[in-house]
Amino acid sequence: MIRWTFGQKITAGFAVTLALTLLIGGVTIATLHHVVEKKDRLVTQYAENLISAQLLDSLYAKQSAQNRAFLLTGDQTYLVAAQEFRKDFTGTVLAIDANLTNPDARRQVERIQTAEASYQAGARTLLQARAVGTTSETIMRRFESELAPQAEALSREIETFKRLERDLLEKAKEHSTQDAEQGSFLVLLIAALALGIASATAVVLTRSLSRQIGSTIQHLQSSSSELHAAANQQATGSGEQAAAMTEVSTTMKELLSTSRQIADSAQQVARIAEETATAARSGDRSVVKAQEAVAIIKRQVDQIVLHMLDLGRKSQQVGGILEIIKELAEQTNILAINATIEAAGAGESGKRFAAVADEIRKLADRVSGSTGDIRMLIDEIRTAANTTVMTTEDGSKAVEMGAQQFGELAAAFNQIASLVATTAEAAREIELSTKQQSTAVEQVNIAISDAAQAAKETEASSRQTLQTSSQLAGVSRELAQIVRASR
Amino acid sequence: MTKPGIDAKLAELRSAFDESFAQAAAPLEDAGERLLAIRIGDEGYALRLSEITGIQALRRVVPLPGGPEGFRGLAGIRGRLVAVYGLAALLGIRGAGEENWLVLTQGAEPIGLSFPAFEGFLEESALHPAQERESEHVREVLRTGSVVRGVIHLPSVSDAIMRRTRP
Repeated sequence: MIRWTFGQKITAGFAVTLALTLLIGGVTIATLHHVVEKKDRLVTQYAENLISAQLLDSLYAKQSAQNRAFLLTGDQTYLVAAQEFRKDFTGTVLAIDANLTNPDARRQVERIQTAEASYQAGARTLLQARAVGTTSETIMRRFESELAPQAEALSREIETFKRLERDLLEKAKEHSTQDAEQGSFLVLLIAALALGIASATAVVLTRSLSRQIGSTIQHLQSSSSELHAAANQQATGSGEQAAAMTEVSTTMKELLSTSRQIADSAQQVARIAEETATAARSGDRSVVKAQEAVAIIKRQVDQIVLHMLDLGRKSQQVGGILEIIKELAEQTNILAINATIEAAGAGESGKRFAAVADEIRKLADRVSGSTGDIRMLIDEIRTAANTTVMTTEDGSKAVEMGAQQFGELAAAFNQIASLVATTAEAAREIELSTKQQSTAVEQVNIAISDAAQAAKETEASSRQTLQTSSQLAGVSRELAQIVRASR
Repeated sequence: MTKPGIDAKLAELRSAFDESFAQAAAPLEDAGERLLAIRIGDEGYALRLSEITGIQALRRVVPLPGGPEGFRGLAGIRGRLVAVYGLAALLGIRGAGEENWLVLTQGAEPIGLSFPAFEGFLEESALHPAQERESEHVREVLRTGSVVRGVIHLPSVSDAIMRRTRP
């Protein structure tokens, strides 16, 4: 379905009205043209015929008068004039005949021609009689008796023709009046139809436009309400925005102050980083020296390990020797026991030997016991040596690990120096960036002040919009009332 | 043991060794019963010194086929062939271990008795009769502290061997 716009509908209404007006005008013009044409035809046909009939009557009368005058006077001039009138009469009859459409009229014209021919024949007879010298009394008698009835017959025929033409004219007038009335009726009918169509179109257009305008008014009211709410919200938001901008401006000032402090701090960081780099390089040198010392310690620890291993081996040798001593002590013990046994068998003389043997046995016993103690000592020494070796090896490993860690420490110091240099560079960049940031913050602060001003202006504009929306709502209400009133 | 302890021990040994030459010979009668402490299996035993003619480490025993229970073989001791018997087997002790020591009994034909371990020399006077005889050859016990040792009666052992060997 095609949705027409307001203008299109108005244009369509005007177009319909214009078309109807044109139709009425066209029909009226056609009707008038038809009536005028018919009237013209009546005037040209019937009125001319009637005038021509009058002229025939006049010409006949003149001819008759001229013939009579000739008959009375014998003057040829009258005869010539009578012939001229007859010529005119004949031309007029032919013109009438050419102008006729009605058969009765044609027949009547034929009758006129016949009557005129009869009259002319009678007239010619009289005229010839007058020419040969017949007396005027005779001629006049003959005129009265012969020609006058023919003249009257002709006059009657002409009168009949005139009556006929008058009747036809009346009929044509009546017919023309009927046509005019029909045209008027048709015009009235078309005008009524146009009025109905125009009314219907007006009703449809009014309803459609009222509906469209009503919908538009509703939209307008809704939009004005939304605009009102939006303007309210915008006014509130603009107020809040202005307040927020003020807070932001304050915050930006604090940020500016903080940025300056950061720049100062970054400068201090850069200086401290340079000092740290110097300390790291010094630490690196110290670590290198410590690495050298650790290498010396490692060599010494290796020497200690070798000495301790040698000590262990020698302790083992001492153990072997001690085993020999112990074995010797046990053998001495056994020998002493056997000596004691032998001495016991030797009687009295063996007693002193038995005493010595007993002493030797006791001594061997004690030596054997002491070897146990010494064995314990040697075992302790070997254990201690082994423990020392293991501890020393652990120490050596610890020293190696320490050396490795010193290496890692040196690398760490190098890395620290590198990182500190990077840090110093970063701090300088931070300082530069922070200064740029301070400048930017100042610019932002200016921009925020402008924005705050703009927010205030927006608030004022929103209030203006609010007022406008209220006015718009009033206009829409008035328009709605107008539309309702127009329904 | 610390270094001062070792030094003191050495000094004591040196002094005892020197004094053994300086002291007068002590009379043997004063001494108690002299015994040898040995170990067979888990048990400690004692042998009277007066019942043996010698003790020594057992180097080599040449086994012989046959022979009575406990007979291990022959060994050369001081230029003589001696029949060696296992003391553990004679006492009826099993699983005593390798017997590396040897004592010779008294008599015209001494018998070698082997045992696993020699523990030392004892000089005790208090011997007590055995309450319960675990063997016919153990008739007395010797108490030294908490240790109780059975005293093996070697003449009884010798008699038992002789009874087995003689028809």
